[in-house]
Amino acid sequence: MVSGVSIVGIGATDFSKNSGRSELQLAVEAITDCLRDAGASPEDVDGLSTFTMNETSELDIRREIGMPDLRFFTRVPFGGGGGCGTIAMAAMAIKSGIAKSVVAYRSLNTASKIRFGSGDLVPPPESGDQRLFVNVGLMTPASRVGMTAQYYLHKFGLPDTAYAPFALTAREYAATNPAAFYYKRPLSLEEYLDAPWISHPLRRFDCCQESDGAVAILITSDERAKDFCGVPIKVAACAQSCGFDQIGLAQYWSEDMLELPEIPGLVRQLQEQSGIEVNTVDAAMLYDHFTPLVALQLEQFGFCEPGEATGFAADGQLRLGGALPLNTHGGHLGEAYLHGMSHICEAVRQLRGEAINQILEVETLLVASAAATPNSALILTRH
Amino acid sequence: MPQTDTSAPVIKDQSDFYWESLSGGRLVFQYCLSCGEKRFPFRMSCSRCGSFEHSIEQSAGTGVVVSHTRVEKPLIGTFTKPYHVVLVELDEGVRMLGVLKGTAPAPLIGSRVVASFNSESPSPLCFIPDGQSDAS
Ligand SMILES: [Zn+2]
Repeated sequence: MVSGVSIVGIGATDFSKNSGRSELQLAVEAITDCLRDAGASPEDVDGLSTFTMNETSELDIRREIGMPDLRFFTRVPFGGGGGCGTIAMAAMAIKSGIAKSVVAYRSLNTASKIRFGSGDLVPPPESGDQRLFVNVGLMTPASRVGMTAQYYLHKFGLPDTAYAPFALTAREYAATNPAAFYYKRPLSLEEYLDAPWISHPLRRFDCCQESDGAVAILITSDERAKDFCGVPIKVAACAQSCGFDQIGLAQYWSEDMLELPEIPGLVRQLQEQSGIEVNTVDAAMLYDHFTPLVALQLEQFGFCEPGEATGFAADGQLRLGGALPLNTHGGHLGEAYLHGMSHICEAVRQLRGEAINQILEVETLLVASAAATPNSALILTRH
Repeated sequence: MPQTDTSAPVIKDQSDFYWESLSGGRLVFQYCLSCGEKRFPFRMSCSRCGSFEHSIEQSAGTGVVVSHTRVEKPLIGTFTKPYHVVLVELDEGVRMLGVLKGTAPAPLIGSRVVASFNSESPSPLCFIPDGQSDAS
């Protein structure tokens, strides 16, 4: 159990397509912003938690932030799937007494430096499952997800426009968020349909952006939370889960290739820890790498029946006032792609009551990281 | 405990045998000698029963399309124009990925295809819609 741990600060840089700064500088800016938000000083932080993919060194972060004591530092694997896992690592370190307060952060220049969607990160096809995909031209995440997305449309008899409501809703939220790349730029159905195909049935706006920026989140014990200035947000549950026979973004060899094999394990742990039925939360921040995977998450977290998620979105249920406001900052599709860490920040803003697109009544929130990979999730609540 | 055969050749990657067979025009998968599970992709042990004992079986190369995606923007030099990738359930009951060859605009899910190896495609495994010739 992780009860007794709170998020007391959130920080970020501007989000752009070309930051012009190093990932180290972005990380330092975001952490500094996070400490300012919490009313904390570098002496208050003795732990760092990030992604194995993060390219900054803890040595540099410690020096540039001026942390006098760094006693806990850890990294979570599996790319975007590790996002909420960075909070889980922090929570465990704090609960065990190893660390007092931990900053979880992610800093990346995926727009200007390494673009995941360009195939830049494709390893040489010499071994393992990568070879299966690269040899047939499934080099990018979008192409792998296209295969699954096509099967979903076929199975439920849906048209290839079915995923549009997810993109349109995200862009609606982003249009009022000054931090968003698509601020003041909502997306019409016509623009959505006119945009180029990426990998059928994915069109351009079904895919997350690639962005430059950094995000930082400060986690501490409930006792210490009183020393900081903001309203602490309770980490009611945090979980990691890896599916059996899981293959990242391509569950083609499962009996049901629509299965997100890590989700049942997340749901079970989140409910056990928080006592909250996951599908009864007031709102959700779900990792929107690709619109079809948002549909699968809504169904497999239990918010909709199989095959109903696209209709749920088309009915406006993901908007403010709907059954499940989703990614109210605009998410990866509308705001920026920060490997899911900005979703955690938005959940905190909602629970503090200071979001741009504020939900009127929100007490409990689900945050989930990259679905269809070894994954992690949180339930955040007000105290 | 699995028995280690010290005389066996060193395997760098358990899928090596699949790729070597493909280059020889043979489509192969694993067969668990303990529980009879047909296995692909290649793995060291059976995910159903845990056994390491297996044989290699050859597929006839015929099957049906489970799903497909047309990749519009090639990213690697060997794939130079939009191409269609298909996930095929072979008649033996295992699924494999290949590039669709032929003139059909889009394969229908559930339609029959045949494996093809002597192809100019950059993919070592292609599938052709049933009834079309390999020449296209
Ligand atoms: Zn077996």
